[in-house]
Amino acid sequence: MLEMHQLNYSINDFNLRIENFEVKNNNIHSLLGNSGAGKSTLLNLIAGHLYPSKGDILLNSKSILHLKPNKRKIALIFQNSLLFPHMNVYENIGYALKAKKKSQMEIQNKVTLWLKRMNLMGYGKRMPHELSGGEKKRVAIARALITDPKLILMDEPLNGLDPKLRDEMINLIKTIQKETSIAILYITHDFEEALKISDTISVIKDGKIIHSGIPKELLFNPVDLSIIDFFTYYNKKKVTISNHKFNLYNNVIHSNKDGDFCCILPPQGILLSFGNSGVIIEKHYLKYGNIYLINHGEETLYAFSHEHFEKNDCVDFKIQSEFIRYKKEK
Amino acid sequence: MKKIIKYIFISSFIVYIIFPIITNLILSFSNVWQWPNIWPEEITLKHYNNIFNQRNFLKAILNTTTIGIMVILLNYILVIPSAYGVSRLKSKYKAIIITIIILPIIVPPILVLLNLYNHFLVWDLTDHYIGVVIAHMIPSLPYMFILLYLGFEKVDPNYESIFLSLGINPMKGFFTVILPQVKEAIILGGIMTFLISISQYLSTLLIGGGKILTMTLLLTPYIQGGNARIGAAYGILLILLCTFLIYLYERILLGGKKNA
Repeated sequence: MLEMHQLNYSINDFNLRIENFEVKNNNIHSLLGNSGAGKSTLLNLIAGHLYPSKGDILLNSKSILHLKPNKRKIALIFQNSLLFPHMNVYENIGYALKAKKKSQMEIQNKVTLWLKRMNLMGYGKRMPHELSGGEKKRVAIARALITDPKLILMDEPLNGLDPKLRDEMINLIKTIQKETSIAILYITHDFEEALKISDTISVIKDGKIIHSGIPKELLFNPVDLSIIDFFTYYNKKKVTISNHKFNLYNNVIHSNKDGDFCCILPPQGILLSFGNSGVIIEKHYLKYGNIYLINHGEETLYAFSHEHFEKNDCVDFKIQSEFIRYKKEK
Repeated sequence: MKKIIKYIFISSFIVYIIFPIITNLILSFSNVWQWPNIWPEEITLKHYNNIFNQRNFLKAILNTTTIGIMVILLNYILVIPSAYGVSRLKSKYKAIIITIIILPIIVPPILVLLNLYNHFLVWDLTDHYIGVVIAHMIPSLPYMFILLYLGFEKVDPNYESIFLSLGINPMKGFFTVILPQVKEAIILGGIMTFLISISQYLSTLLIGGGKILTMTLLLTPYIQGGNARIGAAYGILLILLCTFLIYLYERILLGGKKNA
């Protein structure tokens, strides 16, 4: 679907260098990165608003570099929905069809279909300022999808929504993606959001892709330790290792190191069973299991399990030392 | 505090806007009105009769309207692309560029006018409609530029990315997505331009050589020493003309929608 090879782009002191990058067909691929990492630059290169100094961008195996932005068939959805304020919902969704002089019948059929799909029936005559944040996002998605693009670029589209609405929108985007089979490149700085929505994730840092893979692989086996900074669910704790052993959450761990370290422990490195070492205070539903936040004395820790525990359940946890990574404390 | 501000605002509005118009209106209908009488001793329509019987009157109305409309249209052609371009400019010289564009309203008008007159003599644009139109554009263009520039500045640049991503060409996207968002600035810029154009006396007289007659050209001599009552009647007619044209203009641009 979307491929990038040996892509180079420089502006002032910032260099974007993408060796190889791919968004597969029928996939939601998240691009995860902090601000200034190069996410928006990459989006602008794909959309055609910037031109790389080197390399190529392919869509369906054909280079799109020579195409103007309005010829690339790549739709954009931004954080602020940017609905056209002088048009109502119906006109917003049907704008592109009307501008391309499609027949009234075709416009009406397609707009009605998208109003239905987006649960916006009865909203056609409303002006953008009469809509809630979530409704605006749904109109923006419908407006982008009505043109049958080959790829959709979403630039932090769910920012500013409350967690419940965000989860609803994630489900809606996933459903629509499955129905339309259009590939989505989803740009975000929120790891949890990326985990929930993506089929595959790439992490970008300082203009380079440092990891690409399925969410589980990224969560449980990140290539680069710096990726862990994004992870809400990782357990990080400063420890002093003496005589090759230390105490971590009441578990004695043996190590071949000595000195001060930051211990990084992924949630799947903790085995849960019913007991009385801690109490579950939060439960996060992911595609492939649940992550539990456990209160252990004055500490909290994240654990992953396929088993079902509920909030306020008392549990025991066992740490698997092979999952621990060590970062030298400076 | 809010009440005081409200009273100051209402009083200022009455003193500076309503009071002169009412005085003018009464003066235009008065035959004899002497101190210390509050109302004129004699009411008459003869000043209006005088004006309507002048053979230049209709020509002046037509010229005022035509020149005003031409100035608005030409200003739009020049200002819309430049204001949009400058609003999207990411340059440290942006402030300098804006200052240069609004220079005609910073420099004393007589300097600009005399310079223009010298050039127009060479280019044979004096005593000509086009010369007068250009002379009216110079003081009005900066105001329209400022209004439209501020309007475009408020429009999120990402709208361009949106319409391009929907497969719309830049020109069509600009006219259907960007321009409607600055409709108020466009209307205001047009009204401002028209008002500046009709109030131009010196530039119309100098560049038009007295051959291009406008309402202001007919009105000013009466106020400056001739018959102030005829001047007042001219003033009232000019106010009516402006109000009617501005109303018509808003109706056309807003398409009958009050909150477009």
